[in-house]
Amino acid sequence: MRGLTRAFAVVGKEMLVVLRRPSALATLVLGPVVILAVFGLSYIGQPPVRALLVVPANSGLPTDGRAYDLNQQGVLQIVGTRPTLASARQALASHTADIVVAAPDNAVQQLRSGKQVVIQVEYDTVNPYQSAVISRLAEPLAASVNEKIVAQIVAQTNGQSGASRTPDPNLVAAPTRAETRDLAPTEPKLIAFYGVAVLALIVQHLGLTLGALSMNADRRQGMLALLRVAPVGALELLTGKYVAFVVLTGAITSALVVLMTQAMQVPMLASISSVMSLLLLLILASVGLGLVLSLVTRSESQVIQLALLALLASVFFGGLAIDLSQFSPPLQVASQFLPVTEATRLGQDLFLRGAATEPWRFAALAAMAIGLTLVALLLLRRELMHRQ
Amino acid sequence: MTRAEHLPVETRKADAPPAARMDRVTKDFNGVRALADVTFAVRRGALVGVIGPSGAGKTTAISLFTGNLVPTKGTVQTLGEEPLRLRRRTRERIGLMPQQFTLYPELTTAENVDFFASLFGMLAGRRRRRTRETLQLVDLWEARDRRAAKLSGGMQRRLQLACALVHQPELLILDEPTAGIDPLLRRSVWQELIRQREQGHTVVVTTQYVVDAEHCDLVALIANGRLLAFGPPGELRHMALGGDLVQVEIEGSWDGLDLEKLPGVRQLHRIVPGRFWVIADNAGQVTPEVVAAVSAAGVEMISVREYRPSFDEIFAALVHRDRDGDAASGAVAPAAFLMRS
Repeated sequence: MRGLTRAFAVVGKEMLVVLRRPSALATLVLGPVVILAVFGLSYIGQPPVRALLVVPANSGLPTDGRAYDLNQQGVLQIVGTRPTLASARQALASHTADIVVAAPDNAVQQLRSGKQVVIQVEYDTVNPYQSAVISRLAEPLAASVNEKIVAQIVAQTNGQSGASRTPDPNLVAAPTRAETRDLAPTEPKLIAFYGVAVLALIVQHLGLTLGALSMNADRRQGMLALLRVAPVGALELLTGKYVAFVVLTGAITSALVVLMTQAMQVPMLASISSVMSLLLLLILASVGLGLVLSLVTRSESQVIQLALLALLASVFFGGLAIDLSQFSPPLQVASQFLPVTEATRLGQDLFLRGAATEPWRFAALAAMAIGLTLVALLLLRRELMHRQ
Repeated sequence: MTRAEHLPVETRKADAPPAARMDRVTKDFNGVRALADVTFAVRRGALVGVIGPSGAGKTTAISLFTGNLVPTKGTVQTLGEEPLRLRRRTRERIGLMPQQFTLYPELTTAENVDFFASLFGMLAGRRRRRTRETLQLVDLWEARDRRAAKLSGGMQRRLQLACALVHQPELLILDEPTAGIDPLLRRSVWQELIRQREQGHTVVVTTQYVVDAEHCDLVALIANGRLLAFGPPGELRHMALGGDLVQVEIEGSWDGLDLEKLPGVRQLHRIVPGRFWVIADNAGQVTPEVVAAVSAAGVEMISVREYRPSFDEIFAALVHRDRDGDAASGAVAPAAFLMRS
């Protein structure tokens, strides 16, 4: 009975402690609920693969994309046709198309002269999952173009009387052949593609946690009362913290990069300097985010909860677990404000392609680092000036 | 206006303006009054004790000097400047030791001191020297490589003191440096504070040990947010009792009225038959006259001696006087209080 009394005493105490910290409770319960709700409302599923067809002007093939429709709504969308392969490749590079299927300039003549026609299928992705989806759709797409080519040649042959040449049976059996090519310089394995994303996530979490806990520890230990009297300014304090955390996080990050490239065989095609620039910007932005979180919260538990929520949000909306294209446009925009989102995309480009396909992300990450540092500076200055 | 009647005198004693002062300061926290209309000045080079029980308003008072709090009413000056807008150069001249342990438990003793020395802009060579000197001073040199978290409570207080002293501040503000430490250590802390004073530093220290008043040059007695008295410790007895107290014990019964007529005697209290308290301007001058008066009255004297109430008694008497209000005519109420106790 006494044991039960003691146990219930603990139960009562724990419940009261939790209930009397409504802000902590709100963060604890509402945070994950909000993230799940946003996830549920914003998830729109795998978008259709956008195909662009190359139909040369003199090919005689239909130039209306709808003529090639495979009737695979939700899976494949033919977004149009282009007269040249070069213009279609531009669309690939600018991410307005996912796959290009190109009929050759002189398909009919080639077939007439007894040559098999090659239909070029190109895409440009380092994402193994997307690569698998696209290559699966390449075959029916090529077949659709093939069908139009064959229909064209049959129509032309019927119109010409006295055709006496016997066609090559192999050519009749397979008049066209699809050659599929991924334009990306590497075809990384899942571990390489997601390894870079996980690296970005770890670095962000590390920087954020160090920044958040440091400021909070100063406040908890009553150091702020001393710092207000000491001849030290907010800029000096912040500079000191930034340098320390950049060095610490930088050292751990370097070790992770070595582990990734050496032990996990993740290729690093870009120069070390551009990878270092990316990671430095990510660390600065993450430490800044941590410092801002710690300066807007009052207690250590609050800041830990917020750091965990940031981690959760980064996993869901940073492009690690689910590609951002599967979310609604507003969330896609919102997710760009997470350092990990920019760093993941840039990292995958730098490691697996050798160059950034979206260089503006560097500017976005730098803007985040600068903006968060300025906000942290203002908040710290306000905290040091705050008097009861 | 509280009883800061000594302020002009103390201020005149120093040539320089006071190191810190507060004029008619009131401080409220969410409608609760922590300090009420307090005025006192900290003379340069003095060891000033802000003394009172827990919750009296001592920490509030010194937090106003450091700028960690702003007054609701009144003005505060520290080293000639408003604490909220202390210049960097001025802040370099202040050392603060907060009430709670505020150092970094993960750092060693020497690293903590070195960190504070760095905050005050000391360069490496001087920092090393001062860290060593300061740690030797507070008897922590042997524990210099021990993490602060592993130090005993007393050692942590000394480490905190070392951090406040390392840059040799002109004005040293210490909040309860002797709280929770053993009597021997308390004594050594006071010795250090006295040494600081002797070196020309100004020291403001809060303590709830009223007996510590005897170490101070000036004492501000605070209770319930009110300044009960401010002045040198010796004068506090006068202030509390209205003068020196001479205890007279005689054989037999005598009304003692002759004693009341003696020059320099302010009041006479009969405690029990045969025992009097004579409150006089100067106990040394009045005692021979008391002896003579008793003898002239043909009464046999058992004893006559100056009674020096402890600071605890003085403090209790002043609190009692404050509670009863000024209408209780200054000295009479405390004396009566002392007699009862």
